[in-house]
Amino acid sequence: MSDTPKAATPEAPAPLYGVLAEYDDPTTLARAARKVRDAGYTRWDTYTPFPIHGMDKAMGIRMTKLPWIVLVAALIGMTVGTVFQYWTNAVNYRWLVSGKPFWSWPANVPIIFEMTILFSAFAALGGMLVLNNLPLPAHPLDLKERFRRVTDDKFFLFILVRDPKFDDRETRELLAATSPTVLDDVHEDRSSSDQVPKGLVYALLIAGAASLVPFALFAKARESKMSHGRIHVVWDMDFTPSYKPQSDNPLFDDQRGMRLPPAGSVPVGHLRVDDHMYQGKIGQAFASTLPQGIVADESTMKLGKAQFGIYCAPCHGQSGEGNGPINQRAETLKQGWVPPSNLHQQYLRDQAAGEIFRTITHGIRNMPGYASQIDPEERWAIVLYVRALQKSRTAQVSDLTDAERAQLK
Amino acid sequence: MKPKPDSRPKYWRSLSELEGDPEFHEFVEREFRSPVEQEAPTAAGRRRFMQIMGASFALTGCYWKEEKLLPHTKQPEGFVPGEPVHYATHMELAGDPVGLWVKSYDGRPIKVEGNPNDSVSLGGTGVAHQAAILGFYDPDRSSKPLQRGEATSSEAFDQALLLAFRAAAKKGGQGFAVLSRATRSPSLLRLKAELKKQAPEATWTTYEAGYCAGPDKGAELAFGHKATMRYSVEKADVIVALDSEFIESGSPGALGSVRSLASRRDPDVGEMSRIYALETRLSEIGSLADHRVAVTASAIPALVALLDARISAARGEAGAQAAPSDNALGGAEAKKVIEVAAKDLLEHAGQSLVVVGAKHAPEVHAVVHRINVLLGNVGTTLTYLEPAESINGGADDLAALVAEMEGNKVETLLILGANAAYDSAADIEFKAALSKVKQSFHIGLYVDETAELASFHAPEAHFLEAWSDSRALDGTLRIGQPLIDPILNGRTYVEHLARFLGLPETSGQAIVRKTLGLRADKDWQSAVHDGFLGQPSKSLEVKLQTIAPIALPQAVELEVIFDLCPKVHDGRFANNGWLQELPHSLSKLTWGNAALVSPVTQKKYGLKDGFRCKVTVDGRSIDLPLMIAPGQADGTVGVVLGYGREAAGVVGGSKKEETDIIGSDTYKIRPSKAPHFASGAIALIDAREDLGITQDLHAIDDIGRKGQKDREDQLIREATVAEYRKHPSVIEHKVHHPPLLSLWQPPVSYDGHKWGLAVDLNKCGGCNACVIACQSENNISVVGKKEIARGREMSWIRIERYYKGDENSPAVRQQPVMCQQCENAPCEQVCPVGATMHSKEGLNDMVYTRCIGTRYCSNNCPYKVRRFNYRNYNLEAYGITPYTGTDEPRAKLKAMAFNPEVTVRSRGVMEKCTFCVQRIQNVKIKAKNHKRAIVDGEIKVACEQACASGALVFGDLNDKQGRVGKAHSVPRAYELLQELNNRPRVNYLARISNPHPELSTQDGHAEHH
Amino acid sequence: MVTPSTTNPYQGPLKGDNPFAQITDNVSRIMEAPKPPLAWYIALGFALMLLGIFGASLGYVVWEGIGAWGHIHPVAWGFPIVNFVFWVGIGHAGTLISAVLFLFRQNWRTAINRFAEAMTIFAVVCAAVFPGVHIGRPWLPYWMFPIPNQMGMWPQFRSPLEWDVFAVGTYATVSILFWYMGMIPDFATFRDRSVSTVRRFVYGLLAMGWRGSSRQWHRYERAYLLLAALATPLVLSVHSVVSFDFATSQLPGWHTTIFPPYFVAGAIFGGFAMVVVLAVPARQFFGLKKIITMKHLELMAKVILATGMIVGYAYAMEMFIAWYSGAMYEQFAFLNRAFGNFAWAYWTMIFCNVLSPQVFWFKKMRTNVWVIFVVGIIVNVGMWFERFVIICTSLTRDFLPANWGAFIPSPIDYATLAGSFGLFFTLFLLFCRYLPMVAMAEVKAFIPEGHIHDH
Repeated sequence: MSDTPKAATPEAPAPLYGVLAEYDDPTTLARAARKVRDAGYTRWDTYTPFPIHGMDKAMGIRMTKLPWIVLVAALIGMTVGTVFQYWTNAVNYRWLVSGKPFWSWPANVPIIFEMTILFSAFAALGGMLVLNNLPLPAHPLDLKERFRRVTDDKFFLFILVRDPKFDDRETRELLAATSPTVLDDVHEDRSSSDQVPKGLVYALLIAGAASLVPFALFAKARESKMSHGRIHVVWDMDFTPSYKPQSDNPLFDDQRGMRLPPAGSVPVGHLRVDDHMYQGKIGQAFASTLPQGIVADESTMKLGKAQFGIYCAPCHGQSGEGNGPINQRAETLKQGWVPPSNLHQQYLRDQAAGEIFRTITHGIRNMPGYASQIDPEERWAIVLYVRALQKSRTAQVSDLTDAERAQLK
Repeated sequence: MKPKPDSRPKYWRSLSELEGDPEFHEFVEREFRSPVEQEAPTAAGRRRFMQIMGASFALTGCYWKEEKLLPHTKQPEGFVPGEPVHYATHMELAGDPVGLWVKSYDGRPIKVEGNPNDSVSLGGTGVAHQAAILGFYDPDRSSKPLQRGEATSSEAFDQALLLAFRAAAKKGGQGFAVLSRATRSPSLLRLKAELKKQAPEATWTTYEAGYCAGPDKGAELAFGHKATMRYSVEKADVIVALDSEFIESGSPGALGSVRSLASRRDPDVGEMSRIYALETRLSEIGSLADHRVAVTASAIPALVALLDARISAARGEAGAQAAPSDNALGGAEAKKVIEVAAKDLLEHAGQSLVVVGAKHAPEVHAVVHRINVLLGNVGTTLTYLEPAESINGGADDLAALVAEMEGNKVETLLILGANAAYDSAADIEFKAALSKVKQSFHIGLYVDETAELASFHAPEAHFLEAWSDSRALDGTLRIGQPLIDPILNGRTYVEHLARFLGLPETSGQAIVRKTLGLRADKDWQSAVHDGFLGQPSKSLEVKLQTIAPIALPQAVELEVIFDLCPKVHDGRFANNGWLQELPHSLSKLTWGNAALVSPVTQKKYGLKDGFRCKVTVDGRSIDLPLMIAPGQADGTVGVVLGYGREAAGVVGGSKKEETDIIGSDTYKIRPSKAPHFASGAIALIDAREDLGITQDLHAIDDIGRKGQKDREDQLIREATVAEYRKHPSVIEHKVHHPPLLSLWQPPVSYDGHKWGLAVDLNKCGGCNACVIACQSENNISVVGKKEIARGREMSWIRIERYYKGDENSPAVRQQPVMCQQCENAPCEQVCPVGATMHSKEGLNDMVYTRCIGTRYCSNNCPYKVRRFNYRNYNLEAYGITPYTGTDEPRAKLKAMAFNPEVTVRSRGVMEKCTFCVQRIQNVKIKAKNHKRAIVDGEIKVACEQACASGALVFGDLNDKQGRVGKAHSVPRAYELLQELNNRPRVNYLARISNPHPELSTQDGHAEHH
Repeated sequence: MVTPSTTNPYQGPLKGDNPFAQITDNVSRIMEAPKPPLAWYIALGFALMLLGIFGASLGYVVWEGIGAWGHIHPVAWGFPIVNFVFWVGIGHAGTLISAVLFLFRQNWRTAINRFAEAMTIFAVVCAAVFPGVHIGRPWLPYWMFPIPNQMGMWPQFRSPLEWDVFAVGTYATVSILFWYMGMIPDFATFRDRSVSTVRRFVYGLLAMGWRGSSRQWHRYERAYLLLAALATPLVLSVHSVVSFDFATSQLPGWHTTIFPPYFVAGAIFGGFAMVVVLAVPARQFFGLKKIITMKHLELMAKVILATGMIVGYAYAMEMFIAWYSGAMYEQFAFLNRAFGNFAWAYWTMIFCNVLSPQVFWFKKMRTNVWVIFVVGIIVNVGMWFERFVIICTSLTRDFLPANWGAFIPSPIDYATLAGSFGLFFTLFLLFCRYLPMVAMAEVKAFIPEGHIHDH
């Protein structure tokens, strides 16, 4: 920072920058200013400890355009406030609140207002700084020890050499005529360079680099695999103490939170005394008929087809040849596997419906039981569908009624 | 990120690997090997555990908790993880079984509900049943046999008991005594008989602190034989209840009675019944009554006598009773009401019912029997049934046993659950006598006062983990099945008995099945499935005998009236946090008991509300806080039993665990001769008491009282049935307000589902079952007395209690208030983070995880039904932390009571009634899977399911013909604070009373304006 | 406003040779003095102690849960919100004095506007602490800010609390800008007077190379005017919005249309009182008697009197409207407020806010420093109670009598209340020592010598 003025070094005199006149009170300054103004100078300025009313006129300063900047900012603020609220509450994430429509604008006015003010305020300060070309670290005037009193009690008038009307002699005379307490030359500032100090540059670079580190860490964390999870500072309700399905509970030997129903207990609606329905048996023999409540109709057939497609087809294949995708894969892998039965084999055709039901329920060979996955009703539907599949291979035209045959024609 | 199975820094396991700490290993063995062998950790043990936990946290840092998935190796058929199933079972309380459907979630009991097919309870439940879940997962429950307080093996216990019995059996059973609680369990009775067979000299004593001799002995006096009374209240046009608790859960058949009573209290369907209640305290029937008079207990016999005189006269019978003098009648008002009631009864002869409190003398009951017979009510409103076999007994029986013990006649005492060391009458020195017994065996759920003195103790199996049976009031059987294998190593009484009696069948299932004699599997399975079995016992033809006139007790200056606590019963539920924190339906007192007196009594004895007082009976005295209870009869002090337990557990008070004793032990002044009401004295003790009450916690000044009066008529709208029939709009006109216009129209029209609730103020007696049901269903925290005393209770549904009329003869009004699910919910628009908002079905959803706790919603809720977690109440009250989780065994056990379908709220979030949205969803999903519409009544919210009187109805308002749709459309339906235009989805059905024309001016019913 | 714009408090005390230098000296001396007065150290020590209490109690609240406060079921907002509204109120006078008086050309403001603004900012800082920690999960207040979060959702902009976030946020920001901008020239003065390099560097940084060029002054004054013009409606809006928290709710005693003006008046009232309370000792200890003259204090006393009567009118109006509304619950709420359990709070408020300022009718009182000081304190107490009465007593008894309650503050409540003053005074004392307490440039511009004296 170059506010600290260096004493002007005698050797190597810097080129002249401008002429500085000092005054004791605003009035004389104002008089001088008018003179300079009337003399038609353009690149000059006065320096005072406080704003002096009438000085604008005395110097002939034109009205700043700052108000317009602020106005624009205000409009932007208003728009942002409105659009943002509308988008968030009425478009992006709508919620039904107090029986109001998604956009009930009066409630949004206060925030729109605040946004307007906020934007304009920033514009006012920012605009002032920019137009005033601040911050300005160094200035040739800083070299003048006496100039430091400009912020205390002294008044200055300064004309730059760059001014087209500047003339080494006339200008001095002009100023001299305004009875300044001091008249002085100001030379360009050689001591403090315009370059940004190296140290500052490095500091900024390092800071910039450092600011990227956290992001780098985030990125790494997202990519890398860890045996432990991510950091979790506040646990609030992220983990419930209640026992979710399949969660563990150290109180029990097997650590299982889920418990098996006690032997002999019968939940409501789980009464399974109908052997035909639930065992597929009538007495000791397997039933060859469908149980009570299962009717062989279109809907049951549809249900059976659907369930067959879900549970059976993967192995037995859609048409029941026993060559489902799983089987095919197993064949390619060639690691010893008992292929699923072809449902069209004779012995399966001859099996009682109940026996097929038994097979689905409890499984056979390396086919698991499906009791826990498929409801009994659905199992019977599958049985029905399997029967249909088998029939489809053996059906004769003679099996059809005349009407149906007529349709075929 | 998927954790690698091997290298995982875990909680304590990792530690045992990291530091092969032997103590730790031993600790882990003890804590985690098996819940069966686990003991409650000692303070030291807990501390050590915490150190280790702390260390392990330091190691693991604050990372995700490792979560394991443990499916069944073979999923049992018909069970889907996370899909609840119900089991039919029953809970027997003091010999009265109530059929239940208990919800099981992944094989764990999670919620108790009434069995809608139960022939006696009709699907209703009481607080005790609803709270059973918390009792079941209570870590203070005894989990291992003890010998002189030291842990021992169950084999050792069996062996000792067996030897003791064998020794006694050799002498024909001499010196072997059994002390049990009342039961109607056929199995237990069968084994009792078996015991008698093997050891004829052995004695079996039954003791219930709440035992009342009146009903049974009364019937004997009236008819010469025992007879069970079965009411059909729905048939009664006129009901005269004399100090009766017949509709209060706990008295046999009450749950059924209240439902059938309520069915006649709906003016929109059929004629209303009329209820007269003369009673010492404001009971449930009293708060439903059309005419209620407070009278002392000693006035009841006189009133009965008067009633009898009038009825007999009218029936031309020789009156058994002379009309007693007026001053015996406890006031002119009482007399007037009885006179009118008598007329009313006669007008409705055969359609009327007179009931008297069980606590009253057999003679009184005899006369009441007589009155009902004379009125021809037998066969219509009440039927006499063959009494089912049962055992029950009171102070006299216990006294007899104690005498034997004193006389060293008892060498071995087997105690089945009874806690006589605590709940015996003051003048029965059971403790002292017990020390004279050589060997005493205690089998019970807790290591209670008696167990601490007994030489042996074995844990009892909770009914949710055991096979059981019992006989309901109507004689049908109830069968109880376990929902889970015993989690704390308990065995039922019958299992123990069967063992030392050397029966072939020792498993609970086998014993029960043998008792019921169901050979065929199918019969057995369907019986278990239904939860009940058998035909009602056949009704008796009764013949009146001549009844000696009642010896009218001379009025005493001050009656001390002992009642069982409606919450903790005789003290057996003292360790149940839900029940302890349940506000008493009238005093709104939680966490303790108090002496209740009327304002008159209070002034007379210079007592101060909220101060302690000294109550003396027979020279014994205790001190307990005093509360003014309008409606309590003048000249009576109402106290409840069941508090001041010293070995109840961490919650209910325990000297061993050094936790506060809850309330004061009123057994200490209870005389064995007059166990229900006795003459006594009361005096002020000048010491303030911070009471945990949830209403009027802070004194209401005059302005407050006036403001309350002004608005009561609008909050609880009332009319007489006459007015209502004349102008149905009378209810609507109770509140006048400008037309309710909305600036906005909601962007949705609730045309899918439109959930709504209706609350019938004519049916709610304030039994509180809904409150506990809600707490159990929705994981509502227990906050403890300190927080309650600050006014931070958490209940989602609260029953507001208002006294009407002047404070000396008030009527009480109960108004359940839960979230009203307003369509224009004021709470929603003020939430800055949208944590509460509306669903398309009109539910006011609360998103806990999104809530940051500004509490603005609560401020803006006119019903103040939102509750805030000011602290981590799970940590404080349950020792469970939703923050970091814990493997502390007690916490793990407690956590099992949580309903997994409802978030367990942590500190700093708002919560409130959700209309049991989880239940709605479950049914919706089921209906969707079966591609069908939801049937009306298919969704039962927790409070509705629990409500015995059917005061609450939930359903879809779009279904105009549905129950709730109908309820909302009747002219007496109104919205609470409707003038605010919040458009609540809850409607209240105004209270319509049916006063007798001759009395209609009193009770402030018919006030117009 | 109350005073004609011609009032000039400087009847010559600053005359004599070079008044500018005198002003500069007077103000800069405080910063340049090797040691501040002993009083300053004592005050700072005390303030720091309170600040410590503040930190500790808030830490406890965050650890334990806000159950540590006295909130109960019906009274879900207690001390924290009362304090919040109280401090926001205090935070009004500052910007009001600088902005509104500036627009009204009330030049006497120049002496006091600087630390009035400072007070504003520190008060807003105190206020801002409370909403953050009073919520149930104090680690989540950022969910109220419109920033994308893990839930992929936005705030609910219909909530008055959300309006607060924006209103108070904007107010704080704009106040700081306004304050800072005013200080730029004075920073320059400090810079140019400082001897030590460090100070010169720091103040130089803050002054951004201000050299008092008239062309810069021209834009500077424009910008200052604009900011003042923007700040004025902002001041009015902030407390209106805060009052919406209550006015837009359904609670009897909150649901009142008079609230916005009522709150704003109250805020100015309390704000001025606080300025007085700060100004009196400041001029005492830092020898600013010549700059903050008796005249200033008297003028402020008049403002307090005037606004005090506006507030009194508001109290009366509430009562009247409640009665006139005929709404049962409304009527009860106010009856209860005046005669219910918390009547004592209500009448304390009436005494402090309506009665005590009446002494200012007498010039003797208006010109007695100590009277002004004491009344200032009383008024501040009163304004705190006003918020307490409105917020807490209304909540204790609303619609359903069954959940009426009372409110009993916990020790933590008192600790946080006292602690917030610690924060406030700490900041203020540091300001007095290290920042230009008086707007030197403005004062200079305002004394006669500051004007151009020809034609």
